[in-house]
Amino acid sequence: MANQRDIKRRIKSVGNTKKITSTMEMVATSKMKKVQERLNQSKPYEVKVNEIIKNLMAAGFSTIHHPLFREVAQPSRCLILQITGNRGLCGSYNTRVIEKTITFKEQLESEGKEALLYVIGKKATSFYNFIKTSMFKVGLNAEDKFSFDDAAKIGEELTKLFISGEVHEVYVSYTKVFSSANQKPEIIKLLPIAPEMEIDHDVLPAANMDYIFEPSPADIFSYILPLYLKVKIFTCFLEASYSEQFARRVAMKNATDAAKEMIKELTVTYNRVRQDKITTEISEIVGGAAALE
Amino acid sequence: MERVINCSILTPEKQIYEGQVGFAVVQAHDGEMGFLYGHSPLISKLGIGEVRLNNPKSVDYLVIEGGVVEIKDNRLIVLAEKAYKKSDLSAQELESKMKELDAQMNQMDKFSEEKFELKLEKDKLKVRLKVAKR
Repeated sequence: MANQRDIKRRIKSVGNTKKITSTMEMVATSKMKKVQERLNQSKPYEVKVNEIIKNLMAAGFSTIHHPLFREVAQPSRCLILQITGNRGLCGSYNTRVIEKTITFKEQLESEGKEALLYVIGKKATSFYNFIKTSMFKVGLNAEDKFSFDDAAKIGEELTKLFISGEVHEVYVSYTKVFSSANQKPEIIKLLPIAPEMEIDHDVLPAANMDYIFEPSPADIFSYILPLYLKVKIFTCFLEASYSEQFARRVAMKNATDAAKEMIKELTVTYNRVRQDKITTEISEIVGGAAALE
Repeated sequence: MERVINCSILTPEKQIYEGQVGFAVVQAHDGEMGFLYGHSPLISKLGIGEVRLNNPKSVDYLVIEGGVVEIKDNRLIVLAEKAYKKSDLSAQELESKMKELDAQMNQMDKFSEEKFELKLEKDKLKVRLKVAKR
């Protein structure tokens, strides 16, 4: 059994680790709350943009001619935008997204499509380098400094690639927030814009047909579609960032709990060793005294 | 019943304004556009310019930079790409930025892509300055 001093040293070191993990937990919690706030603030905008697109479609304006809707008959080159974190210590957050992306990539390849990777996040980048998978482009995750302008830049870049015909489909792989305690990695199709925005006739009253469009539906349409993409990418990033902070918080909480448990066990061992030592010493003294008589 | 419209101004980052106004003027893509109670449903593209929200007692000034406006059932929604409240802008800061831009522009060739971008930036600054001085 380890001696008294060794155990004491271990208790101290575990205690230090516990301090660090519990601080990180608090930091992650506060960051998570901030992102949640931003997510809530940006939600009405997204909803509204969707609504206007729906209204435009309800106005009988044909969408199929817009280049962003154009589907290639035989898509052979796809781009996957993967959003992950820069840092580790967040449980299985990064691995889960990477796993999902790789499975999806293999699936595309089995269909005879070429899949390019656009990776955001330092952790994932170094992982792909490690398994020697080539990436189309890499970028850092701006984390809490991420602004709408950054999303706009990525959106424009992807749109350009798509319109020039360099890639035929664009997907986003990120962690979707289903509820405040439930996030799962998801892959969504970004381009061509799927006409999934079905018009629910019950929700839209007939009065919607009377909209005046200024300058013209087509102009507004070609303006709002890129905006829609940017907003979509922006919310994807925010959701990914929320999930990352959530995952980190959970991981750090577990680590803190484990450290607490460990300290408890070590203290018990320490006391036992100490008691043993005292008992041995007493019996030695008693034995020594008996020998003198 | 009071003849007011519900107005909200949103950007992707946050909600800038929410409230009831009597008369609203926004900068549309080709000029200013005014909204009163009972306006027919309309969707329009926005330009770079100021937004004036008139209440019986006060007037609120904001800057918007591109976006879309929608009015329906006396509910006005401005979806701006960027928006600033008057209180968020400081005239002094903007003026010094303006000078910086001018200096940069003077150093450039007569026609270049960068100059065009700077010109756009300057237009935005001008509007912000105008609102800041209100």
